[in-house]
Amino acid sequence: MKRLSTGIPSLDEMTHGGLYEGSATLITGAPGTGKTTFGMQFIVAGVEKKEPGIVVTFEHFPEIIYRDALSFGWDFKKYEEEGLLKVIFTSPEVFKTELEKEMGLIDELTAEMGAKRILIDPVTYFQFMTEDRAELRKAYNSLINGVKRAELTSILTCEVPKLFGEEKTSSLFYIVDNIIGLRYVEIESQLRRALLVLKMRGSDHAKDIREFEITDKGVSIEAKFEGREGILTGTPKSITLAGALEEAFGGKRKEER
Amino acid sequence: MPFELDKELKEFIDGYINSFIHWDLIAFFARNPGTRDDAAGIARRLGRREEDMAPVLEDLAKKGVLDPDKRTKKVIYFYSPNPQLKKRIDNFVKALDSKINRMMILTEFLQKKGGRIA
Repeated sequence: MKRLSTGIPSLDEMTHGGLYEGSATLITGAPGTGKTTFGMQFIVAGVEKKEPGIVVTFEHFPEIIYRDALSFGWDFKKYEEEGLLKVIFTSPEVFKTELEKEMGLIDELTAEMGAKRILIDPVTYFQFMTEDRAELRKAYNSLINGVKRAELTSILTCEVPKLFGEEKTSSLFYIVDNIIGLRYVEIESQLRRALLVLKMRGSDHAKDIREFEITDKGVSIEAKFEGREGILTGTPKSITLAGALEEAFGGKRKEER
Repeated sequence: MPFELDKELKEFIDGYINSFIHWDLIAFFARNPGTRDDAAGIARRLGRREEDMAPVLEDLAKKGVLDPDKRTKKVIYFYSPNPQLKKRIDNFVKALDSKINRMMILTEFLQKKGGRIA
């Protein structure tokens, strides 16, 4: 089955060749971790191959998205003029209606533009539609299935309120095909960013936690965190031979005393 | 007078900018042309009340700035001026970027309203 490049070579390598065509990928992370940048880079990777894309934003005004994209060298306005991109600013209720109705906006765009990729940012705005968890899961299911029906490969961003530490799982985690987690990590009084591929349906993937940075050209994934443990807690500890030995034997000896 | 508004811009203000809500909506849609939402959603984006926004959205739809999609329970509006009108709107929005032009547009608008702010 065909895979699509994420636009980030190291992430393509971590996912063993990119995202399956037609799959739904959730990118989770706290504010500012870079979820939208990952999504935009995925859309740009398509645009560069003349595969049109759609950006659906529930929160950020398109004029802010145009500005932010331009800071990475991606001219979204130009892509729109060339028919390679459409930025839609709407609410979850309207988007869901558009997706469900016959020849709604998404059907129109896939027919007219030949769109192949979509970024939905942030999908967690669907939570404001209902307080009923079962209803919310149905809404998420309908969204993912609607996007798949339109044969779009999607990236959905998921806001996590906690800046550090482990996050609660959402019903979305079970519905999507792939999950990429972005985290803040504090190391020696410096805030750094970590990435982990948590799930890839139907494919093997790298299991290591890697550091990444947001540069003026977009996301750049670096080496894995060496000599640290507890990265996902947000406050990792150094692993030293002495520390490991103390952990293994020292603590026990103390208890024996 | 050292500065004067362009005749076309004046005509546009006379024909389309009937209130500050018209002004806000036209500038908003021109800057965010992919917006597709109902009156409540658009009101929220602009920090205004839905009941004030709804009649202006209808008016802009009648004037060809917006297109109303009435196939759903709530009317969904999107930006769809013809190329000629789009050019006039772009000129208006571009003029708003300059402080002096903005002041002249405001003066023109207030004169049109007889000095009253609607």
